[in-house]
Amino acid sequence: MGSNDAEGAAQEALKRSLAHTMSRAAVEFYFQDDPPADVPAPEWRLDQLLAWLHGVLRFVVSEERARMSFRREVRVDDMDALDAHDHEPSRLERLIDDQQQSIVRECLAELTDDYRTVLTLRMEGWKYADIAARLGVNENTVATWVRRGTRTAIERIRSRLDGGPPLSRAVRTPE
Amino acid sequence: MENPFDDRLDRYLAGELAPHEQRELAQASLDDPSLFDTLTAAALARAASREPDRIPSAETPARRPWMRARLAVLVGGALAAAAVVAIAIAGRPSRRTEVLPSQPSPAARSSAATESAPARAQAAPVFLTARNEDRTDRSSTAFRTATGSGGGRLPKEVGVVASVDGNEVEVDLGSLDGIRKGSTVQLFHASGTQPVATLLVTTAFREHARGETTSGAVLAGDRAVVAGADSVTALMQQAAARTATGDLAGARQLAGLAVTRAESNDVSADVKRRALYQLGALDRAAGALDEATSHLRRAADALDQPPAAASRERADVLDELSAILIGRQDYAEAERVLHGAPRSAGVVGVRIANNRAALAAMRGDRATAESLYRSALDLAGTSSALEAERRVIRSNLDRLATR
Repeated sequence: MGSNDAEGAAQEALKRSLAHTMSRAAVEFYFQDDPPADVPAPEWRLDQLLAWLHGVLRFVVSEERARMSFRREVRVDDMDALDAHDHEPSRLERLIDDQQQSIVRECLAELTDDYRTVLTLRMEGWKYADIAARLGVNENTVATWVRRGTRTAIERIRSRLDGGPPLSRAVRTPE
Repeated sequence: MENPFDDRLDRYLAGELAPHEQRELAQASLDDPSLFDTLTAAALARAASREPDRIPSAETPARRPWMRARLAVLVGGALAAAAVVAIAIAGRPSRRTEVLPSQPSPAARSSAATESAPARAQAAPVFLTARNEDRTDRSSTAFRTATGSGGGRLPKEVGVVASVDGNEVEVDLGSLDGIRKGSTVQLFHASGTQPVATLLVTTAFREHARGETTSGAVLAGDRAVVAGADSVTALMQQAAARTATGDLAGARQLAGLAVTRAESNDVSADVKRRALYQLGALDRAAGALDEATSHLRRAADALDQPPAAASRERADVLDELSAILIGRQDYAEAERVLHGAPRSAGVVGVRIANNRAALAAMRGDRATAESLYRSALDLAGTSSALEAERRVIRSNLDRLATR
């Protein structure tokens, strides 16, 4: 697989995402340098793609750790060896859901009730006016709570994304 | 929102950006790792808040070589670290440490009868035990079979010879079945009970393997039987992979199968121990403490069976067993178990030293406790990964001074 380091794992995650019909269309639309002018918008939004990439990468690393923990020697330089079974869609979905729910549970739980409530409603697509009406506050207050709640939540989620040990160390020297 | 970025981020979170706006944001993030991280964090939060709006299923893959270097770098830099952290925690739950405040033993309660409750709590040492990330709230998803969806089939014990070319033989067994380079596979004619040849595997793939035999009597269609240890290892690997995805129920089923297979085959003691240890740890994670105790005791009892366990394996097994005993407040037995644990590097060694010290403190052996706490601090070194453990040990030392 080649994921002996962070870059290798990332490359593998991208490779798998490009082998997936839905994510490939999204990757090409959002990140390709010069997509054809008539290329249609993908079915996935950008946030869906980024969440997917995160989940696939996590899956790739977990596979590698499982393999390394048992010191297996499997020839993987032949791409045919990475057959369709590698993709296991339902497993990936479950993994992504677990990761997302875990992060949100821990990070949103630390927000104040007001921030958490407005942020959750906003992420569900509620308009400011509707949130204000529901909570009995004015729209400016909602905007302030959304802004602060968003920043706080993202900072906390990012703090979990940053500062991890190098992949090579984590994979090669499992505790 | 007044700030243009805040406004864009707000609309991104709410799913209100048009496709071309999302593309502009994505392109901007290619030159701004911080933005990429922010968008990813927001994406995880948003996706998790929209349970019905699940990411669509994968379809038949069609490979394309296209790859954008900058995106790969960003994903590598931002997401890989997250994944590593997450996997380091979720993939091997028993490695992480949780803090377990001690409860006064009957003797300790008696001796502390005149103390106020807060004073007792302050004086009680704190244990460090392996952390169970996911207990019983996981779904009891059954593992897939060979006929199920996806590629998570069970490892096969018996396959067939797919082709024979001189002494080069290919079998329909692969790494999913525990086959690796150097494995040996016994080959039988269809109705035979005695092996006609042994295949030495030279190349292993997921679903098939090739190798050489010492005999030319092999025929296509002959049975190929995986060595017991390889088969057990394959099951253990699948259990570990399930654990990494959070499917503890499935992992525990597979680990149970590994133990059963280990006991019904000619498998060496070290493989059996590893299978028992894995199952015991998963039992503990599931809250099945009786089963966990039983399996870990069996693993502990087999530590000296040849090939005898190395000190690291010994420490792992005894640490896990003692964690259960501490959780059950069976401190005397926990101390007996830990007494036999070797000094070990890493977080396991730190936990063991701290807990031995805490147990000594609870029975009033202050000198031993202090010595062991200091030993635990030495073992913890200065690694940032063990900062939490160091804090607990220092607090225990402080408690010791106030007792």
